[in-house]
Amino acid sequence: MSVSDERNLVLDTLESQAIWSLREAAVFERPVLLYSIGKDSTVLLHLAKKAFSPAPIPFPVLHIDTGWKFKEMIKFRDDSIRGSGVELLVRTNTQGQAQGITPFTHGSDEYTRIMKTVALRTALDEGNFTIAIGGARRDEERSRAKERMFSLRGIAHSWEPRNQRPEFWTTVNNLLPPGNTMRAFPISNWTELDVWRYIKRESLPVVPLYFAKERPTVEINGALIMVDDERIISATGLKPQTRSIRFRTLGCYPLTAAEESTTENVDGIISDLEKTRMSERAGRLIDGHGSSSMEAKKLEGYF
Amino acid sequence: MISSFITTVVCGSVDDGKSTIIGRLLVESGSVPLDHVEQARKIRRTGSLIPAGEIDYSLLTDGLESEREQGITIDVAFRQMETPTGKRINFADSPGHEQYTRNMVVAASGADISLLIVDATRGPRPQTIRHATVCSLMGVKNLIVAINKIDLVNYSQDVFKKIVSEVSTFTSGLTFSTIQFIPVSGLAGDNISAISLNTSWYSGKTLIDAFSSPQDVSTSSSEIFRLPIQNVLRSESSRSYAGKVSSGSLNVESIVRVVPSGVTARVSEITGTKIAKVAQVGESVSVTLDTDIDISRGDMIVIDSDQLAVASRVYTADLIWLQDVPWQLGKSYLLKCGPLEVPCTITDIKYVRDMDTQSQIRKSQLDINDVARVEITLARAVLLDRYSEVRETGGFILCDRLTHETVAAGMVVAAQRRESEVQKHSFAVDRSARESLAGHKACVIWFTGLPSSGKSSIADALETRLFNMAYRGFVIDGDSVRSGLSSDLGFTAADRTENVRRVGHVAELLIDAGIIAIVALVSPIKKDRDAVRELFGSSDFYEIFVDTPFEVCLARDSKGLYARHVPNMTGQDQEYERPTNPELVINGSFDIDHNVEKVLELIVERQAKS
Repeated sequence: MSVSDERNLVLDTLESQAIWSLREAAVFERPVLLYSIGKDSTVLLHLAKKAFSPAPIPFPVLHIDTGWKFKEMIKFRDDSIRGSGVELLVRTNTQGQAQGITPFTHGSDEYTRIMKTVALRTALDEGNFTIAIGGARRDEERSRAKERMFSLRGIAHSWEPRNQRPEFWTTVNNLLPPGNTMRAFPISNWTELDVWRYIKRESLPVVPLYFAKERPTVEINGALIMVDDERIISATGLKPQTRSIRFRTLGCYPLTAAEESTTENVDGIISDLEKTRMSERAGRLIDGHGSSSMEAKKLEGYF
Repeated sequence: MISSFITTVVCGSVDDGKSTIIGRLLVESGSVPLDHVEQARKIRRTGSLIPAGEIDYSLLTDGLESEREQGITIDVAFRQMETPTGKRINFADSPGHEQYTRNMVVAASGADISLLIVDATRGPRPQTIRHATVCSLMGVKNLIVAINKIDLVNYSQDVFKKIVSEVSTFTSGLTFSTIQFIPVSGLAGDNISAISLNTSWYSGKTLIDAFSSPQDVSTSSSEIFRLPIQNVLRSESSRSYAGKVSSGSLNVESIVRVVPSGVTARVSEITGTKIAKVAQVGESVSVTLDTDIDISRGDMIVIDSDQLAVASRVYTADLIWLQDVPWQLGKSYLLKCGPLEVPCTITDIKYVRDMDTQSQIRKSQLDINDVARVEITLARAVLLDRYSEVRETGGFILCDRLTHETVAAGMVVAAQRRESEVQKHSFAVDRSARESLAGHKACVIWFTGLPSSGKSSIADALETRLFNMAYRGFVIDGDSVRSGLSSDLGFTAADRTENVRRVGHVAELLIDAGIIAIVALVSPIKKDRDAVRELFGSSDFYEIFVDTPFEVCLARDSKGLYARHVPNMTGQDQEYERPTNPELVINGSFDIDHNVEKVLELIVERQAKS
């Protein structure tokens, strides 16, 4: 068997495993799919459509909008969800917004806690959701390598890594103690390369920011930040420079570093990844505070 | 058979160097991002002997802060590696300490290969043997033994040979189909991805190549087809049944049967992820049938001609106890196997296996990490397979109904007897004989109604009246059942259902004994009461609705339940479903003797019937 045949079979296995877990998640009383517009969410949404076809996806899709997402992300979100029969919920921590919480004024940690973690917890509580389905992958970060595919969250969405439920075969212990909720990670075992190989195989559209283009940028602490609107100029006073850039991961634009690149399509991304070997979250400024800061965020309920 | 995605459980005793070997494999196969490697050069654990600037490979797999502090792996970490041939190795790195054996069991349950690390300087340890035994028990077919720290014994072939022979001694009693031995050093890098010149006496494969060589990756028998149904997918024009194929393959036009209902149908369409018209093992599919039949989550679709695919209520199984809280005699657990869910009890412990000596120990209790051969009796007949034939439909978990924790993992050894073979012994003295001795006929008087509606008081007065008439009656009330028979149950809807079911069967035994069974139970859910009614003939069961106004119950509050607002309280948090067609309705706020009189009339009428 050729290398590409083997890789295709790997994708088949990963796809069936993800569909299986989405179908298990659908059995909970009130599921919700967390959608962040990025490549992993795109794959997750596609898998959810496949899992329940010809029936519609039996749960809503939730996007936490911090107000600092790239404009192209929001457009992509609205274009791809509209008319698809998917129920989209958009939630923002309006209180935080009213208090003027921004990545510049409050620092990336505090901003993330309020506008993402708190916003997510509030949205989950308000919707009484009993299971939240997310696109996290075990290869992203070391503490995620220990996460179960179905992961119990205690009161106030806390995660107890030392007391996780054992996971066996295709059997999920889906019983929830009062006040507890579940997280499901259907693409746990996928790598970043798998995601792109699958996007190629299934011809899935993604946000154009993943592809290189001349874009206005500023350099902050050695990171290239795209000027998506005026707010970053007024906050930093920096002068934009045009560079050919692309993004490997997408989040809030002031916290997401771009890389200089000329890679314009999915094939190029795949061959880049097969050659270069930096982790994708190296471009996420919020993870970098201490080598275990992702774990600390997760204990608080960050996704 | 999909064989490109291979899960490998990594095991061995603590400090034998597992994390280092995996870290090294990942780095040398290009599976770790460079910035993570850089971090592993900078960060050091307290007491680490690895020189600054060198990579501490073990840091790449030990992911949690608390573990990094202790220097041990406390949970299972999953890591991906692509081999040069395009295969995917999914490493499940499991802990070495004995108290974490349950994680080891989790990691082994889904594995195709067991990578067993043995420290060349120490030889196989008790944990090494225990882990190999657990892997064999969990059905892992292939064993790769990496004899590590070979550099620390001066690359001695004699040491290698001695350990090979020691390990072979204990693996000869286990069930691996392939075994490979490789001398390696995780720290120095010998024979990981390149053959080392230091072990010129070794002519086998590198560790990375060992993963690429053919393995026995079957987790099921190709002869058997199994599709456990997860969901029913309904669209305007169709209804299809979704699940992941656990074993075998299915074609369009095949005649299938649903277990346990036994209904058959023809497959009209298969929507899979791969080849059209065929559902293969490992694939998530949905299946459409030619006739509308009743299939729900937890049912199993099998090929109709598969005569052995029948439901059973009693199974022999190997059980691994995972919780600090020991097993309790007679306690009811929830068995889950894929989408299937059924209450069960462990009815016999045949023996507990000593994992070090393989001897069998007699024990009447199960404690954490015990591996036991048991008999399990289910509340209803379902289809489970032998674990050795189909892992996914033969492996199950037991959940505690109150704490909701997973308390055990089990593997079916055999169906002990098929449902059709269970025949009630016909006893010489039967119900009618007992009734004629008693001088009256037996029946069930089932009082249902809100808490404090007066059920128990009326039941008590009724039994007194019967007693004075020399009729034998017996009151089963909610509280007496809750303190014994159902002490393992809570007040959730599922537990109430189970409680009502049990009381129904107790009443069934009582009338068989010729006794008038008087049940006083809230039994709020209509479906549960109807299920009990099904157990009896029409002239044996009398549902009596004690319809006392809610305000009266609230004011009475004989047990102070309303005042304390206990959780899941019927009438408050949980709805009481009023009977639609009871044999009798009485108002509990009326005079008690009046109410008893009306019930007595029913019992007297009963005497005239056959």
